[in-house]
Amino acid sequence: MNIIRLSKLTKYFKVAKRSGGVISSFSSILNRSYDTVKAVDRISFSITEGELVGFIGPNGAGKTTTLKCLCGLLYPTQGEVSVLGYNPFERKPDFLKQISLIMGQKNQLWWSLPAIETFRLNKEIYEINESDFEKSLNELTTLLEVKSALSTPVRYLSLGQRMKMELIAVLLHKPKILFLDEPTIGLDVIMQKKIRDFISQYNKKFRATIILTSHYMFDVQKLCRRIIIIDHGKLVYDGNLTRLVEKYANRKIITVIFSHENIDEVNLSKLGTIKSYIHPKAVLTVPKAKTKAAATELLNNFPIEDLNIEEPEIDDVIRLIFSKKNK
Amino acid sequence: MKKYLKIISVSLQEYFAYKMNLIIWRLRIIISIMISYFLWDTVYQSKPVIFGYDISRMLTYFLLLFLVNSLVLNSQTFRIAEDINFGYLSNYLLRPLNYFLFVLSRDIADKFLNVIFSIVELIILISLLHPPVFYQENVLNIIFFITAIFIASILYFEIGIILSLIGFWSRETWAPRFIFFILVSFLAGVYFPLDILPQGLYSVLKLTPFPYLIFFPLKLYLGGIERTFISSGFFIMIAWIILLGFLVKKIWKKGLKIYTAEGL
Repeated sequence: MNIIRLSKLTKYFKVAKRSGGVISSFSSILNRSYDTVKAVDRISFSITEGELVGFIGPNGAGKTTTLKCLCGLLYPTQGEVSVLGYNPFERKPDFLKQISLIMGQKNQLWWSLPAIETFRLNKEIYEINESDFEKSLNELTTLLEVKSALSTPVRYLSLGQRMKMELIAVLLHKPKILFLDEPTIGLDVIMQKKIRDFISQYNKKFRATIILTSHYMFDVQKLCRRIIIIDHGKLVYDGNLTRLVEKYANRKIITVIFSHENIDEVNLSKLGTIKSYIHPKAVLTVPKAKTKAAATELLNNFPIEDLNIEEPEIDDVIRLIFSKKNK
Repeated sequence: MKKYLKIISVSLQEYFAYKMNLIIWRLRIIISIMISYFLWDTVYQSKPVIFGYDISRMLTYFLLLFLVNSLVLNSQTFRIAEDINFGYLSNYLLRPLNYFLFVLSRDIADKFLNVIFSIVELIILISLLHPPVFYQENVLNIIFFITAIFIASILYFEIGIILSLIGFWSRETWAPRFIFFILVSFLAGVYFPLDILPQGLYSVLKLTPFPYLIFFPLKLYLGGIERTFISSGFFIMIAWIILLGFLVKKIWKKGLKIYTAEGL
């Protein structure tokens, strides 16, 4: 069953044009001109219950805008959105009780009060009964190791602790759909892994549907089988993560270690693109079909100590897709 | 409804985290009212009755202003503009919560605290200054007074919301609010009872919502008000509430469609 369905979702923003300088600032008072920014441009996809989907794109690609349309914060310029059978923009209480949006940089906690106050308020807002509340709170605070910080005013918490509290605040009502926008931003490596594990557990335990955006490709790689890539508001790829690498990675990466410094860079660059060369290590990207020839050439005509051929990293594949699109 | 009670209690707790803010705010009100109070006190040195008010009624007008001001003109509705411009609104929109009831709860907490302060201030001022206080003995006048305050706070609540909803279209909501605040203080009768104005101006003013925020309730307490003004007054207030309520709904719906959830 499709739990989320987008059809040709489009969202334009009107942005006031402003060129620098005092004079133009003054003239902008009288006549303002606007630019239309196509934040999301006819995107369609659907997601079934229990899926964990990675949502990827460079900054400003339209990821957050799409998520905001999915939870009813933004009114779509065109197209249709259906989440759990609801039109999100109507923001029916029954719909809102089943979703949560978590954003790495946002703050829903009451800044000057201890986090527990926000949690208790959410308990009332989501009409969670006392025993369920105690149970979830206990579970979440144990797992995220923030029990002792519950009664500290939020403004005194560290970034990591605050992020954990934010997570707890949006999970107490056990949403069926989670929209996670950069949930691990600003966290240390250990915490990132914890959150990651937690997301995966939550997905399995409650058959929750999760859409995740992250700049750390590692998060996505670990968690999501399916990814959706958007760029400049348009859908670029929707499908299996491993197949993406096969499809787009028409290059391989050759890493070589030279035995002495006397290298003819001009000749080296004929074999492929030199990604980096800091003696003694050079990294080349070479078209797939020419990999073998390039490797032979290297071994024969260059002072090679070590040579390594790999598939490109997922990061690189995605960078490749974006740079291709932008050309 | 339990959720809104909880919002009131959380809002109250928040005030105590910023005690200084509240104290300074109260100080501002005390100073502003006391200036008018002493001004009028001096004016009465030479004449016993001015514009049909004797000294006890005039000074009581300003003393009661403490209470009416706390109940009517104290409002947190300006925070709606902040909520919109900084994207905090998203937090509320995402939850099964009626945003306006949320704002109302925040206002109730605010008014509750301010009323307590103003009562304490009044007691202190009366015992220090020994002013000639006018006590209204007619119960009907007191009932009208209380009812009018209640309706007036709803009216001002709506006005505050509309001014803040400008935030959907402009980031600069502070300037119109500031001008409005000065205007409202003047037109509502914070500086003087409005019936001392020239008759023509006064009758035009009576068609606007402003006199009903401060002057009308106080006049009901002080008595000596024509019967026709009592009924027309309540009628005009309610008419404004219906009209503005309709406007709030319209503007809110329009605003949400262009809301960009910035900063979040």
